Amino acid sequence: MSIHTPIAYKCLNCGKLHYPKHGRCLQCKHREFEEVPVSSEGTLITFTQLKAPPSGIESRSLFLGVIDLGDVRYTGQIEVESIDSLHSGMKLVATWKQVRTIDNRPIYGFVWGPP
Amino acid sequence: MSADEDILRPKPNKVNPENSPYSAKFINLVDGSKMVVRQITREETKKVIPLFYDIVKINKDFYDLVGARILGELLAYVQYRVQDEYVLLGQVHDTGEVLGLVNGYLSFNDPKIGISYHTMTFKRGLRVGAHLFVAKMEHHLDYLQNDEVKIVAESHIGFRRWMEELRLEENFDFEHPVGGVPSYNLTRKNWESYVKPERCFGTENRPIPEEYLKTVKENILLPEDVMYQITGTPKDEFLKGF
Amino acid sequence: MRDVTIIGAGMGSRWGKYSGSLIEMMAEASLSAIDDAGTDEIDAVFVANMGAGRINNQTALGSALIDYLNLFPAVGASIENGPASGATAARIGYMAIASGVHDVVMITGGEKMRVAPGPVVTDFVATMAHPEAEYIHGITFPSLGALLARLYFEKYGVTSEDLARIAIKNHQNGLKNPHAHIRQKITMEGILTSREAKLNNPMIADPLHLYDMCPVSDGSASIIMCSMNKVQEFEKTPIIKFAGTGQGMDTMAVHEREDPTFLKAVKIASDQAFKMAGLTREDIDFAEIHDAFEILELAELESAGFYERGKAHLSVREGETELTGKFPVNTSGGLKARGHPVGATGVAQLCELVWQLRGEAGERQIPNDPKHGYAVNFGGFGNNVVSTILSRVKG
Repeated sequence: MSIHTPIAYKCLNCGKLHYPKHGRCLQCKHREFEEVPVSSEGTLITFTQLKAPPSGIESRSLFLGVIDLGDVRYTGQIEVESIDSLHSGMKLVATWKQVRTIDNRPIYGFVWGPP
Repeated sequence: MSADEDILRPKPNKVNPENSPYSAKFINLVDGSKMVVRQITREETKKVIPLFYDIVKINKDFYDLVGARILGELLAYVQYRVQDEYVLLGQVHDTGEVLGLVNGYLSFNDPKIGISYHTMTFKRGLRVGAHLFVAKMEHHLDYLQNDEVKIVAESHIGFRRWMEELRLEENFDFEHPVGGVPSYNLTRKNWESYVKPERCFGTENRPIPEEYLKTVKENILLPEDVMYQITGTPKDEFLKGF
Repeated sequence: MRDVTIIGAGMGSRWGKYSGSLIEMMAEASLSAIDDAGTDEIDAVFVANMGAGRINNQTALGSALIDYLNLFPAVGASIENGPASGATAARIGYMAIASGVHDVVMITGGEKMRVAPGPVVTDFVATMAHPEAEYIHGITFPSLGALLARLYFEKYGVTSEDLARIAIKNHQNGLKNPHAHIRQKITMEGILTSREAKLNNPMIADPLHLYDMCPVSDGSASIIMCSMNKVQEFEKTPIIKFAGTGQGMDTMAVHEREDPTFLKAVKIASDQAFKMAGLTREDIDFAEIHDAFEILELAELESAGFYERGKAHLSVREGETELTGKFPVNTSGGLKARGHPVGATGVAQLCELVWQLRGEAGERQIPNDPKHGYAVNFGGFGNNVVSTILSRVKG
């Protein structure tokens, strides 16, 4: 499966979807999962503009939010010009990008933006 | 004036801090107090100089280095040894306590260039430095008609506050008179588009009430706990080491 | 199980920036607690610390403190549970004594955080977040506070003014606490309603401003715990009983919680502590709440069962949680003003409960002989929480 699509970890016993990964199902404690693709479009639940990013983030400020994909939720960066263009309930879609560096290594993940 | 003094004493630029002084204002601080920001005269500067005698002993956050440099600059100001120097004080409106000081001067070669000297605060946690530094920029850009101000920082705190927060531009081919190091630049464009609208406060508080002015002129003193605030050690105990 | 008491409490010098070493700082608090208890015959030492291995290049702090203070033959260990390390260590101390393994245990929490620049400390704290689902995206703890605050604002009508009111109260209390890191009066005008407030109190993580969050601090705190059947030997009155302890867990990634505005771990930890103490919420006279962000003071008070969900801010508006109110919260100044050296915070909360219960809290002493105090120490972003109830039982 492509890593460039948001995924969930589906419990092979009860079917519960998880993100992020767990070693045992949060519902039935089963240990086997399969990766399943989930929607790359979701609804913004809450958001912030962080003006004091941690070391490893180049930009002066960062938009962050929690996005509900229906089956699971993701937390991630949002690409917009200003916080005024964000509101709870708006639609966002995922793209695969570099999100930060850790010990000077580039780290990739999903970044969210208006469709 | 002797002939020698005539040579040594700089000739003022056309626009200078004497004929275009900073208009006093006050700024509301986090603790509810009002900080009067004003330009002081040479006579008043003589009262400020002794405030630095103990500050230069503080080997912390560059207070000794910056304090010694300011002390020199103030002495130079009262004795006419810097081109168009000015000193702005931040003082509590009803006690006169000096919360901070900023100073600078004008370029002799190019009157459109202002040179920022120093910023020092005597009370922490009130954003005094942030307000006073911007007041200094206001003086250069809005009163002294400079188009850019050359800035450097000795301390890490200063670097974060000015270079990063105010989005100053690198101007590394300009050798700054403080330390001879590569300079940063606050341009008129940055002033008009960002610093003035976003960071410059108290402009609506002009003119300041007469009684504020009277109080701050009559009382030029450091906050009582300045030594403790900066060093974490009470003044008497701290000075025992000297 | 044996009952357990606290016979000594100490915080050393004022919190903020400490110029000596981490062990020296923890030793100050420890000696202060030892002097208060009147004994140095300690069986075990549990040191609470989150990140010395990362930011101070020192590990095995339990051994180091015992060695530095010559507490031999005491045995010891370090306890790491993020910002809840302090109350967790006290809980382990309780277990050690209640079980009969030890009679006298010292808990010392300490963190020396101001050695590193802001973004590095922010990143260090953020390593508690979920590594793949949160941390790599640049999530910091202030941003998690902000995500929670926005939900609270939208769901319950909490406002920036409500958060400022809590900050003003905690600063006011901090002014009366000689140990507090931040001893600074703040006003609504200065931090919120004046034009200058924009610079005085900048937005850090929208909708949270600088004054909606705790500072980064160095600091240490220590308590001495003793079995009830041995406490008479110390002639220490009043006797402060370690009446209740509870610990609760939740998912690590905040977005996996069904309702992120409800802090399930706080509820579990509190319910356990109340059950053990045999008390109800109404019995509690005052509380120390883990206000790393002022929004957490509201959310924790609600999740702990002191107020209905979404209603705590209404009581704050009435002044109920002020020093003179009917339910004083964070008499010490809380994390907001006392400071938040992560490993020390949970222990300092217990020091405050002890001092208030003994009537030794000086200018910030609450009236009417308080009998029961509650503390919540919040680890991770609420995925690991410890609650403690202390009671004055004699004297």
